[in-house]
Amino acid sequence: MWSDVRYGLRTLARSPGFTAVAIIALALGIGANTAVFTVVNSVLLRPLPFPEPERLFALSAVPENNPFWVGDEAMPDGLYVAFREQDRFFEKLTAFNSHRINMTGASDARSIRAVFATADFFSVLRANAALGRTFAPEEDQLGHDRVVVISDELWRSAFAADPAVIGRSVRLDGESHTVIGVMPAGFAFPMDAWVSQGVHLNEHNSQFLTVVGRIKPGASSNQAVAELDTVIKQIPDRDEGKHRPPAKVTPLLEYVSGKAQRSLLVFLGAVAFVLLIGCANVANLMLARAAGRRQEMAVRAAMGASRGRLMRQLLTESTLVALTGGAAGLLLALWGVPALLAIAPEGTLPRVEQIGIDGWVFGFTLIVSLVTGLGFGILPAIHITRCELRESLNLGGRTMTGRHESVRSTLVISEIALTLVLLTGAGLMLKSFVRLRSGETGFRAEGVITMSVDLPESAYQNAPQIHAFRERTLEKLSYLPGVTATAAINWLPFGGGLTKGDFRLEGGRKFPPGYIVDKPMVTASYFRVMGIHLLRGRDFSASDNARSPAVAIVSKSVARCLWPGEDPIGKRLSEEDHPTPKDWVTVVGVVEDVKQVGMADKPRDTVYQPLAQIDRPYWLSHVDFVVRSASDSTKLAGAMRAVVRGVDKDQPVQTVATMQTLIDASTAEQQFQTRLLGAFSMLALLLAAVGIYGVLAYSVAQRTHEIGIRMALGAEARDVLRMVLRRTLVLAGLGVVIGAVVALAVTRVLAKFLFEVKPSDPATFLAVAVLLSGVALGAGWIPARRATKVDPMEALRYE
Amino acid sequence: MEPLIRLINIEKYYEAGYGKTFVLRRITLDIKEGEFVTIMGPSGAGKSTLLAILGMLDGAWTGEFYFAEQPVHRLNTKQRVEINKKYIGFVFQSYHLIDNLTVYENLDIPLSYRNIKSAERAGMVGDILDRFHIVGKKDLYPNQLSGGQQQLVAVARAVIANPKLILADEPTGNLHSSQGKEIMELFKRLNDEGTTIIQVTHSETNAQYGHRIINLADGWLVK
Repeated sequence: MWSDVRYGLRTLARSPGFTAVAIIALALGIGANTAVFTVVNSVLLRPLPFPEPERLFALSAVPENNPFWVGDEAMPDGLYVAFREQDRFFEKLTAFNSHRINMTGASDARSIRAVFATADFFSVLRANAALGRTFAPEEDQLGHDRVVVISDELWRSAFAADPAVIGRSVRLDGESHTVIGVMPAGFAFPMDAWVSQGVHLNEHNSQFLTVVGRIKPGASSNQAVAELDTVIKQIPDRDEGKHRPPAKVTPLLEYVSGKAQRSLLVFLGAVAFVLLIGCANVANLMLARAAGRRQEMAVRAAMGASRGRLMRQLLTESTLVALTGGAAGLLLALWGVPALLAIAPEGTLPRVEQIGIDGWVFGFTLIVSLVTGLGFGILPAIHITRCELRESLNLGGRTMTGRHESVRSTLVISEIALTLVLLTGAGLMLKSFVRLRSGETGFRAEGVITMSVDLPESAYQNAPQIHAFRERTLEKLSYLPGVTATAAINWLPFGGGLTKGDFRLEGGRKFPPGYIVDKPMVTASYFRVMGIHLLRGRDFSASDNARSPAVAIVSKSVARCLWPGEDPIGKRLSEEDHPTPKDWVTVVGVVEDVKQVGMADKPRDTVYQPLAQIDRPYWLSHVDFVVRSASDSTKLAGAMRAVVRGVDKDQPVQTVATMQTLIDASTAEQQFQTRLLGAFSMLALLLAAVGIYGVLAYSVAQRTHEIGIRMALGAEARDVLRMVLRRTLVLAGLGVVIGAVVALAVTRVLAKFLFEVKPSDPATFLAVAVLLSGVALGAGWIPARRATKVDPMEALRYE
Repeated sequence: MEPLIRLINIEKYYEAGYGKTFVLRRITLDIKEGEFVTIMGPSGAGKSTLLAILGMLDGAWTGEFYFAEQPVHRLNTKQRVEINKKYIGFVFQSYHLIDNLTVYENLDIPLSYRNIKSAERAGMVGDILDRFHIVGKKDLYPNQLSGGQQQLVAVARAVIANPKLILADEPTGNLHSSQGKEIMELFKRLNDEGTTIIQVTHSETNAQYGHRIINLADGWLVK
């Protein structure tokens, strides 16, 4: 064996060109696979870094068609409390939700991401603080001092890693909290702070919570599902059980990684295709080399080497190439993983802080390299050792070449087919992305800069305070240089939040079943700043205030749905179940439909109300300011933040972003998927082009003699050119047809990612087929041109 | 009557180091239509090179060359290929049949480069198969034929497009004597029917089939 390795190394060193090309092709394929597997391993496969992580489950019960967005896995607080009392299968349960809050009392006012969790949160995860402690059982009770555990990152950035932070008081949304602990760096629940907060039911209000439990040893998730189901059925339901939420108990790992699973598996499939194409290329190279080594093998056989022994020698060589390619691939992945993470938009990949190359990745790369070596080595090894001894020792190359030629052609056809599948996938994603981006939003994003502010209830307890803050801020914003108009809205389109709800129509008119509208509240100049067209009636004005009659502006789709064929102006609606005369709101205008959530969503039915007429602080505490400006947005951002600091120095700004940035962010995930698939398919296209070139160049070299004869018999340059290119087209054509059939089946997995494009989109299939055929012709052109330069006399003398 | 071929001071050389290595020197000769000429000489004398020039396969030479009164030395490559296609057929020592084509397909090759419709081509291939008594072999591949049969097919391929001139480079070099004789008889018959034949051979016996012998030595014509 060792002599095989030694001889293999010497043989490879003697053909540096072949070795380099083979290693590069494999390094690209294995590198791409290693990079994607690194992410898959860290996100989907590696256990969560908590003790006995397989016992952690997320519990949920979300009613189908729930009108409010509560996340994929959550349950109503009432159900949580009922289940906690009856449960027999969980050791401990915790319920929490998370949102951004303002922290003051540390270095400066800042917006942080916080979890509000029951006291069992850390004991369910079995996580301990690095400094201080985590929650004590009673610390989530009403009346108890509020406590907070902070992250290592926040400890370093806001408290200069001061160990004396324990016991220090900070204000979270204006309320005093005592810091009791600092979590270790890299704690696998990426947040800035964890605040203890019990679940206290309110008969008028309910909230959805994320619930996580540690199951008892020996208990199963099925038992937990059955018990949760039983509890759900005990809760009275006015719809006679028709809308009871289904009980779900999901392993926590799946809960954390589930959303990324499909994308990652598609990427893994794509890079597997790239590797297969790389393998086909190297197998082709090996076959080409095999023709030149027939004599050597024949001599070895004549000296007594068995076929198995010869195959072992050849497979040792291919394995050496594959292992070197694998090592180079691993190096590529070291660079590729950070590059991949850099283009992944925030939030696309969970557990991103845990992504890294570990022993499993090494093992994966090693196995892939060995399998690859065997995969591309076995075919040439079989072919080369199958030759008749006499034939190999006596004859020239032509009869053997014919045999290899068909295998090589098959490999190239496979490469083209695989590339077509990848290109079609990327093409579909690209078309979908272009459609997504070119869709109408209903507003004019250019020149609009946005700024989000969350006013804490502790500091802004009533509507007049919030109105005053908003109006002062708007006034100061309007003085900024370059600013032409300013407005505010409680939840901006593409801003990540939404208020939805139903209402009553005057005269008891019926709604379509389940009819719910968006209910943004805006200032007078909002439509002007956003460039939303007023279609009928009038815009809000400064006179639409708390003292004037309540008014509303509806979107076009609301008008069409509720008052078809009628003038909506003057129609009245109310949010109250039993409206008194002062509760009626009069429609004064109709505006264009606007996409509120994302480019992939349809414009939503919307009823706008003036912010000045709203008196519930709950609807007002989140404010998005919008500014239309001709100035540079980066310069204006600082000035806008300064305005808020000038109005309230304790009030941090959540974000400042151009409207276009928010739109871009809403399609960032699709862009990431498109880019990644595009990059992989371009890599595949490059490898396929190299493969086609290699096969045709080799074929031309082998057919020099035949071409010489043909030229002696009257073939002109164009006849030879046509002959080689015809072969290119036959290979490409077969590859395209087979690839199209495979793509029809495979691209279905992309259906969930596509926007207004079918997985079988004929235009994409056609475009990809034309592109691939063009590239194939390009790759075939150089050997074809070379064939026309064959000197017939030289070719014939070669015999 | 003007000769079919007129060569005046044809020279061919390769640049080698500081000087030139001549392959052919000042070749001047006429070959009339209907002649059967044998070119003889030792290895390296330039016989095959001369044949290649006559067959328009080699364009890098100096001197004047008239073929059927056309000044080949003034023609470009494309025009020379046209002359090749119209007037010339080749027979090689190693037959040079294409391995992966059947006998029928090998015979069809020269026609496929001459803008002849496929129906007409089929007729011509059928005729030649009949004429050479190889109908039964039409679907066989070259490696299924004996050497003599392969050369028979090669000759059939050379004459299928009715050339005025057949150039044969050692046509019997790879055949045993009885097969060689058969091929030479065939050339004789073709010559009797009017085809001009120029053969390169080392065989005195084969040379006797021709009307005259041209001897070459070190690239020079030897009188």
